[in-house]
Amino acid sequence: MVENRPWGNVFSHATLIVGIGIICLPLWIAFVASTHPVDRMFHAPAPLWPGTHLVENYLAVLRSGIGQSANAPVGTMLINSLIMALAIAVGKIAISIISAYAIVYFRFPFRMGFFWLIFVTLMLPVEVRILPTYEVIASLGMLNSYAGLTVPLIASATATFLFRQFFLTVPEELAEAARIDGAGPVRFFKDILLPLSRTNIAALFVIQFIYGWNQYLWPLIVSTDERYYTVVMGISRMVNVVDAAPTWNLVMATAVLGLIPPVIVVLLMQHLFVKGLVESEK
Amino acid sequence: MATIELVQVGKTYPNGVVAVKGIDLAAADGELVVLLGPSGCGKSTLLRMVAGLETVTSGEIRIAGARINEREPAQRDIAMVFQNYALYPHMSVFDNMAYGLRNRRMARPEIEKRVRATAEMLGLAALLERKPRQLSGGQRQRVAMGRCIVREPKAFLFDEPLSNLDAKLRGQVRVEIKRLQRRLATTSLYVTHDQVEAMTLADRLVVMNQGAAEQIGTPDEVYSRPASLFVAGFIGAPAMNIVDGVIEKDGARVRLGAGGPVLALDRPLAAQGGRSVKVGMRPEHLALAPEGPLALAIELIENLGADAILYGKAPGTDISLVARADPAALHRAGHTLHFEISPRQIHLFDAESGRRLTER
Repeated sequence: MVENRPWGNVFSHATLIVGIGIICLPLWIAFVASTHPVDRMFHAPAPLWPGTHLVENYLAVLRSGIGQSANAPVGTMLINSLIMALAIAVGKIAISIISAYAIVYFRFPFRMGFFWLIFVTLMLPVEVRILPTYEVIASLGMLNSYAGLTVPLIASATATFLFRQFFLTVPEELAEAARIDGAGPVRFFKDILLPLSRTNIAALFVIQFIYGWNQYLWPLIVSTDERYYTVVMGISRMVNVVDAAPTWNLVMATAVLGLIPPVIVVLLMQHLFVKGLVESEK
Repeated sequence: MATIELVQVGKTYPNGVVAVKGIDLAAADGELVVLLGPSGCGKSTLLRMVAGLETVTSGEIRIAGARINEREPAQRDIAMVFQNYALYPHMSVFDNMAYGLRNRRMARPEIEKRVRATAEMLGLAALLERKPRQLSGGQRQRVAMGRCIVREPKAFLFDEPLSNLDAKLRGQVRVEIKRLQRRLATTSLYVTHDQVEAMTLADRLVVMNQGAAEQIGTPDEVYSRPASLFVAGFIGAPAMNIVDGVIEKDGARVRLGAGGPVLALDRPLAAQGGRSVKVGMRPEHLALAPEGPLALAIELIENLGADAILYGKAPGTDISLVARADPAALHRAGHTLHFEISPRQIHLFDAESGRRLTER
C-alpha cells in the first residue's frame, strides 16, 4: 500500500489516536487516582489530573499495606508475585523444551501417545482442575508456600507444542553433522538446539511471565497467610473490604505498581524478538 | 591403511522396502569412488550406512579392515560433507570447524593450529570470524569441507555437495575437490546423480540402479564397455542411441530395426546368429560418410557452440537417431546425412536382460 492519500493518512492517524486513547484512559485514571488523598476519591467525578500525594501514597502502600483486612505490605506482595512469575516462566520453559526435545528427537514406545496426552491438557485450564489440585496440594502440605504457588502451574502444553514445531523446522542434517562431530544428545541440545531456540525462549518467557504474574484464582485459594499474598489477588482483597469504603487512591497505587514489572519485561525482551524475526538464520 | 570394504551390504526398511541390494565394493586407500545413479537408486542410503546414519540390515562394512557396522558415527573416524552444508548457523566459521575437535577434547593450541592451517588451505583465513549466513554458497561449501579436513579422518563422505551451487561455481568447486582429495590422499566416497561430476572426479565409478550396482569400474571402462543398457544410457551426453536389432545368421553383421541398415561387427558371432539384441551407438561415434550405411533425416538441431546435436530418424524406418556434428557445417532440418560407425564402437546388449553380450 504505497499510495499517498492525505485523507487516508488523517483517517489512520485518527483511528490510532482514538485506539490509544481508549487503551490508555483507564491507566491514566488509575495513575491519577493514586496521587490524590483518600477523601478526594469520594467526590464524583473522578479526578482527571494528578494530585499532590504521589510520594506519600506509594510509600504508604509499599511499607504497610492497607488497614483492616490484614494485608501484607505491597512491597512483600510484589516480591511474591515476582518470585511466582519467574519460577513459573523459567519452570515452564525448562520443562517444555526438554519434553519437546524428547518427542522430536527420540524414538520410544507411545511417543505420539504422550504428545497427544500433553496436547489434550490444553483443554484443562487452572479453573477446571482447581478442586482436585487444591486437594493434592493441601494433602502434601504445600499450602502457603512458594512451591504451592508455582508447582501446579509449571507444566505447559502450549510451550511444548511451540518448541516441538520449532524443532521440526531445524534441518535433520544439522543433527547428523553434530552426531558425526561427536556430539551426544545432551551436547547437541546444549550446543546447538538451545542457541537456535533463543528467540523462541525469549518470546515464551514474556508470555509465561505475564501469565504467571496475572494469576488470580490459584494464589487466592492457596495462600491464606498474608506473607504469601501476590499483588494481583491482593488488589481484589483490598477492594472487597467488608466494613468501610475501599481506599481507592491506595488501591490504584497498588494497581499501578502491579503493572510495572510486566511492562519492564516486555520492553526488555521486545528487542530480542524483533532481532530474531529480522535476521534470517540459515 | 584406510580402505573401505563393503561386503554384501544391504538395507531393507521395516515396511519392506528394499533400498540397497547386496553391494560389494572395495575402495583402495586414497581412492575417490563415486556412487552414481538416478534419484532413488540407493546411493545416498549406502553412503549413510557407511557414515552410520542408517543401520545396516545385512552385510558388513569395514574401514581400515575393522568392522564398523555397530559403531556410532563419531567412532568411525569418518567425516561427511552434506548437500545443504549443515553448518551450525549460530557459530562462527572457526567454531564450526573446531566443534568436532573440541568434542574430542583436543588441546586448544592444537585446535587453533589445525583450523588455521585448513582455513589457509581453503582460502578461508579472512572469513574465520564470520557466521554462515554472511557467506556465499561456495564459501559455505568450503567451510563444510574444512570441517571435515581438520578432523583428519580415515575417509571422506560426500553427499551431492555440488547440487546446491550454480553451474559455473560447480565446475570450479569440482576441480578444488579433486585437487584437495589428491593432496590429502584420503579415501573418499562421493555420491552424485550428475554423470559429468562422476566421470571427472572418480578414480572408480559405481553405477547404481534400484538398489543394485550395475557396474563398478574406471570412468573409461564404464564409458567404453558399459555392462548393461542402463549404464550405457546413463553415461555420456547426449545419451547413447539404443536401437532394436537382430544379428544376421552369419554372425558377422547386425540388422537394425525391421528392414533397416545393416552394420558390420568387429568379431563374428556365429553362435548368436538370429538373436534379438539392442544395439548401442554413441552419437559422438557416428562419423559423417557420404556412402555410410546409417542415414539420418534431420528433424531438429541443437547448437551448443562447440557441437551441434542432430536429432532425426533413419528414413524408411521408425528408428530415431542422435548424432554429433560440427556446427560450422551448417546442417539444416530436412537434410539427410549419411554416417558410418567403426565396428568396435558398436555395443550389443541382450534384448531381455539388458546385459552386455559377453563375447565382446
